[in-house]
Amino acid sequence: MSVVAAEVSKWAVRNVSFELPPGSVTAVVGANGSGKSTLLNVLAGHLPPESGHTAVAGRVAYVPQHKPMYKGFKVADVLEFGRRMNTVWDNERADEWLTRFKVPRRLQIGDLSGGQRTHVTLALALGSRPDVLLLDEPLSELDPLARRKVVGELLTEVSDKSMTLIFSTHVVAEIGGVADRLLLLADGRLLVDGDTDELLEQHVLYTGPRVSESPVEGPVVLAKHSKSQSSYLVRSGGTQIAEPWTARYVTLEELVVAHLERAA
Amino acid sequence: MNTFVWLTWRQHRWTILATASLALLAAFTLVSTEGGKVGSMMMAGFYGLLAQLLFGGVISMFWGAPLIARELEERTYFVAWGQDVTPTKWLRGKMLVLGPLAVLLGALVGLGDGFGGPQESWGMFEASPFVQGGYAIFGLALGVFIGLLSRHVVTAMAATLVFYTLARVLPAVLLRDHYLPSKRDIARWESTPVVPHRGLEIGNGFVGADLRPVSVPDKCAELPNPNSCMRNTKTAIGTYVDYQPIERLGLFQFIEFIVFVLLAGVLFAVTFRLLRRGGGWKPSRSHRRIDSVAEPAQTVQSTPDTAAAHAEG
Repeated sequence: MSVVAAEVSKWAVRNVSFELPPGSVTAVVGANGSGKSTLLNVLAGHLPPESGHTAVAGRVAYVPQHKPMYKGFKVADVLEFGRRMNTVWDNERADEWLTRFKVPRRLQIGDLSGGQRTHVTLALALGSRPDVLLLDEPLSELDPLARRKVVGELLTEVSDKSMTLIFSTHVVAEIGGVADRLLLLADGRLLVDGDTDELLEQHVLYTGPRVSESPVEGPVVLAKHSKSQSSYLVRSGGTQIAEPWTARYVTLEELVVAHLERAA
Repeated sequence: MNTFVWLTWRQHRWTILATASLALLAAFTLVSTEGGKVGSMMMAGFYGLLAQLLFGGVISMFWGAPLIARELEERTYFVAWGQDVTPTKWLRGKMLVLGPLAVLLGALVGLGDGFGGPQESWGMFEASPFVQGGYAIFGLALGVFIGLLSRHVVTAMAATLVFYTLARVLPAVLLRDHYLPSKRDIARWESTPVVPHRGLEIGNGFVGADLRPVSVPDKCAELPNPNSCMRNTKTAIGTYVDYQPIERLGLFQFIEFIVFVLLAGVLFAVTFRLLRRGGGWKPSRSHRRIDSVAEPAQTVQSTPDTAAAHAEG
C-alpha cells in the first residue's frame, strides 16, 4: 500500500480508515466543512491525528487549498528553493510545468494571478518527485480550459512516474474519467470508499410505478416518490428488472449527490 | 549550510541590511566620540548610546519575533516545512546563520562608549562587545520563542518588546552588582572608609567589634545623626563601604555575557522541543514510512472495517 489511514480522528474527521495502492488516483469528495482539508493535512503530516494513525510510503508533497508561497520570491527563486530544500529535485520537470502553463518568470509571486500561483505551487510539488502527491482543491482557481489541461498533465505524470495522487474537490464534474478511486466524506465520516468503475457498475436507478418498497434486492441509496412514480437508486450490482420498471446506470455526479443527499 | 545562507539572505536581506547599517552607524559615532570630543558629533554620540540600549531589542523584535510567526500567520510553513528539510533542521539552519550575525553586529555596537570618557567606568557597563553580543543572541532566541507561541507577527513583536525589556531590567537591577562577592573597606571612627577610584559603591553602614556589619538600634535611628550615637553607645567601632573595584569590570561584563547566552540557550532548547513535539508540525516528508511487508498486515488487523471493505471490494 502507498497510503494507509487507520481510524483517523481529528476535529471534524471521525474514524476514517482506508488504504490506497501505489499509482492510484483518488478523489476525496465532500461538502464544505466535511473534513477534506483536515484529512489531507493529517496525511501530509502537518497535523497530528487525535487518534488512529496514518502512514505514507515514500516522500509526500502537499499543495494546500490556499496555495501558500512566499510573496517576495520570484518564480526562479521558487525553483532554487525547491532545489536546495529537497534531497531529490527534478528541475526539468518543474521548469517544464511552468513553461507549459506560460507562467511569467520575471514576476514576484505576489504579482501573479491566482491560477499562475497554483501552477508555481504545483511545479514545486512535482519537482520534488514525490511518491505521494496530495492536492487540496487544486483546480479551484483555474479556468475551465486550464482545468482540463492540468488534469491531463497530472494524469500523465502519475502514469509516467508511478506516483500516487490524492486530490480533494467539491466539484463532482471534475472527477469523471480522472479518479479511479473515490473517497466520499460527509460530516467527517467516510461514506463511500471504492473503485469508481465498480461503484458505477453497482449503482442502478430503477424507475417505475409508485411503490413503497424497492423492486430489487440490495441496499437502497435514495428513494424518491412523485404522485404516480417511484425511483430507487439501489446498490444492486446491476440486477435486471421486468416491465413496467426501467433501469439505467447513473453518472458519477448523480451517485455522489444521492449519497450526500441521504447523509444530509 | 549553503542552503540556509541562501534562504536566510533571500527571505531576510532587507531586515539584515537595515540592522547592519544601524549597527555600523552606531559603532562609528560611539567610537569617534570616544574621549569626549565635542562639537557637532555630540548628539551623534548620544544617539549611539541609545542604539546600545536598544540594539538587542531591535534584534528580538525584527529578527526573532517574525521568523516563525510570519510563516505561521501567512501559512507559508506549508512551503517551508513541506520539503525534505524538517522544521527542526530549518530552524537550526536559520539560527546558525542569524545567530552569529546578530552576535557580530551586537559586538560592533558594543565597541565604543561614546561619552564614557577615556577611562573605562561602571557607568558604561553595557558598552562592551561581550555584553552587546549576549543581548543580541538572547533577543533572537526570545523573539523566535515568542513568535512560535503567538503565531501572529504583530502580537509576537509587542510581547517580545515587553519581555525583552523585563529581561534587561531585572538582571541589571537585581543581579549585576552581585556577580562576585563585593569588597569591603572598614575604617575606625577616626577616619572614613573609601571606595577606590572609579569603584562601584554597593552599600555602607556600621561595623561592630567583630568587624561585621551591625544594624542601627532604634534609639540611634531616631536621631538626626546616628553616627555619634553609635559611637557613644559603643555599638559600633567604625564604618564600612562595600564596592566592586573597577578591575572587575571586564570580568563582570563577561559574566553578563555568559548569563544572557545561557538564557538564550534555554529558550532555544524549549523552542526546538516545542517545534519537534508540541507544535503539531511534524516533518511532513517520510514522517511514517510503510514497511513494504510488515506494516500493511498489521494495519489490516487493527482495522476490521478496512479489512471488510477490502474483502467486499
